[in-house]
Amino acid sequence: MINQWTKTIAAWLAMQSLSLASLNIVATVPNLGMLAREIGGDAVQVRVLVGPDRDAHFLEARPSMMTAIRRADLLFAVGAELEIGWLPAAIRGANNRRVQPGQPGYLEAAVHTSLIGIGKPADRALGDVHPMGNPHFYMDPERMAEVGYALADRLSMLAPDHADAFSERAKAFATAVESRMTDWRSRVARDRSVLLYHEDADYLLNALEVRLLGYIEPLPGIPPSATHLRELVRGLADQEAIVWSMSYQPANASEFISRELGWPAYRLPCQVGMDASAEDYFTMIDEWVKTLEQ
Amino acid sequence: MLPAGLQIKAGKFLSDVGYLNKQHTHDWLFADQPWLHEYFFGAEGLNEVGVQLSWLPPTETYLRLGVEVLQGESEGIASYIGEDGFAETDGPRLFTGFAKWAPDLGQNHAVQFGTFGGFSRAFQQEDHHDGEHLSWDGDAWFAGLDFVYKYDAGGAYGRGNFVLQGEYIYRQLDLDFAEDDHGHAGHDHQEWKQDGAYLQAVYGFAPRWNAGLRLDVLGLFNNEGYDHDDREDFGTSYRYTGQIAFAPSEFSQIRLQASYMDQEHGHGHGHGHDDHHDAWMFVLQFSTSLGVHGAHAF
Repeated sequence: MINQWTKTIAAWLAMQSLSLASLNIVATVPNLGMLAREIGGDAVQVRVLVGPDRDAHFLEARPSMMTAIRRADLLFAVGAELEIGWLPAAIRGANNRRVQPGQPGYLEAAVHTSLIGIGKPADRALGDVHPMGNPHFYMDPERMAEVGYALADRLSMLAPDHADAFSERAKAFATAVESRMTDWRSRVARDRSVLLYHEDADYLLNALEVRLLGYIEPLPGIPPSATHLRELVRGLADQEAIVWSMSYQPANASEFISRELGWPAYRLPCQVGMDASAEDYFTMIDEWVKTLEQ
Repeated sequence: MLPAGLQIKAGKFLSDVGYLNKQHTHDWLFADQPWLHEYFFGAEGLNEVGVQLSWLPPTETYLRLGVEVLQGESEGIASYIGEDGFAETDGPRLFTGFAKWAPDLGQNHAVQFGTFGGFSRAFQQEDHHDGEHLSWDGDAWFAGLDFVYKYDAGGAYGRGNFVLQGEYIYRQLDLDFAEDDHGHAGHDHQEWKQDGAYLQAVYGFAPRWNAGLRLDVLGLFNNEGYDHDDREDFGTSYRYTGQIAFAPSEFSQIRLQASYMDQEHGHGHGHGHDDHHDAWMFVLQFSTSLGVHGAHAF
C-alpha cells in the first residue's frame, strides 16, 4: 500500500518537473502560435485559442480559453485592439496573475513592431477604426521576424537557461524570412494592383511594394451594401487589378466585383494551421505571392 | 488577483449567480430582463456592494467556484428597511455562492452549466393602503440552476450564430407578518415558496440581424404570497416574448420587441373565480455604446 502511494507521488513529481521544464505559452492566433513554437523550440508548449478560419476581431470569450490562460506562463497576443472584443474578458475570467497586462507573462506583439495607420481619429463615424494602428502585421514576414526577437527576449526572462537557444532561433527565423523576401519580391509583377476586402493585407502589399487600390468595405468592419458595390464597380471600371479577401470573409462581395470587372479574385487564408511550422507560414505567404506573378 | 487561481473582487458589482445576472444591459439579447430576475432580484438584478472570492482550479475542463458577501439591498431577495419597528440588521446581509462547469467543445460549440444559491439575513417589506398597515419581516433564501449553449458559425457579422439559455430559481421567504387594520392587530408567521424559469433562443439569421424567442414562467411549481387578506396560491403566469434586432455598426443596435403576458393573480376578492390578466407590450429600443469596445464575458 505504502509502496503504491510512493509510486503515485513519484509519478506526480515527475509530471510536475516535466511541466516546469517547458514554458506553457498561449497564443491568440495560429500565426503567433507558429512563431512561439519556432522561437521556443523544445522549451515551450504552445496552445492556440482561435482557429485559422475565424476572424480574431469578431469572437466571444469561451470558458475553454479561460482554462487555457489559467495555466499559461506566457500569453502571446497580437494587440492593437485586434482581440479587444474577447481577450480582456478571457483574461479576467482566467484568475492568473502571471499573464495580466503589464506582467512578464503578457506579451503584445504589436508593441514590438511598427504599425500602419497609427493615430487615425477614433471616430465611430469612420467605422471600426483602430487608433492604435492596423493590427494585421502578421501578414508581413519581416515584421514577424521583428516580433520573433521580442519574443526571444521575453522567453529568456521567463526561462533564462534557454536564452541563447531562443535568440539563435529568432535569428534563424529572421534569416529564413530575408532569403524568402528576396525571392518573393523578384517574382511579383511590377504593374499589379490589389483591391482588398478589409484593411488587412496592406502589410504584405507594402512589403512586396505592390499598389493597393482600395477596399471593398465602405468603412472598416461595415459590410458593403449593394449600392456601394455598384458604385465601386463604376468607379473602378477603367482599372486593372486583382481582388484579395481572407478565407473567413464573406465571398459574395469579392465575387460580384470579380464578375462585373472581369478581375481575378483570390480568397486565401491569412493564418496558418493550429500546429504549423515556419515552413507552413512561408508556404501560406507563397500562395499570396503566386497571385501577384505575371 | 491572488495566486493559485484565486481572485478577489470588491466594490459594487453584478453578482455572478446564474448566467444573465452579471451581464450589463447592453449585452442582453432582449430589451428587458426575464421576469425571474425582475421579481426575485429586482429591477437592477443582484447589483450590490460587497466582496467576491472566486477560484479556478488548474483543471483541463473549466470549473469556477465562488462565494460573495454582499450588503443586501436588492428588493426581490434582500429588501431592507431597518427602522420603524423593523429589526435592525447591519450589513453584510446577503451571502451567495455559485459553481460553473464548461466542457471544451471546440471552436464552434460552447456550453456552460451552473448552480447557485444565496441567503439573506433580512427581508423586510411594508405596505400602507386605506388605513391598513401591513409589514413583513424575516429572512429569505434562493437556489437555482442555469445553462447556456452557444453555436459560433464562424460567419461574418454574426450570421448563423445561435444562443440557447435558461435558468430556474426557487425562492423561499420566512416572514413574520404583522397587520394593523384600523386598530385590529394581527400577527402570523408565514413561509412563502415561489419559483420560476425562463428559456430563450436567439439566432443570427442574416449578417448583423438576429431574432429571438423567450418564454417566462413565474410560479412553475410554487407561487405563494399575500393577497389582501389571505395567503394565496397565485398560480402560474406566462410571458411570451419575441424580438428582432439589427446592428448598423459594431457599436449600435436597433431592436423591436413584443411580449404577450398571461398573468394569474390568484382568486379575486372572494368571488371564487380566477383573476386573469393578459396584456401586450411592445418595445422599440435603440442602444449605442460609447468609448472603447467592451469585451463581454462568456
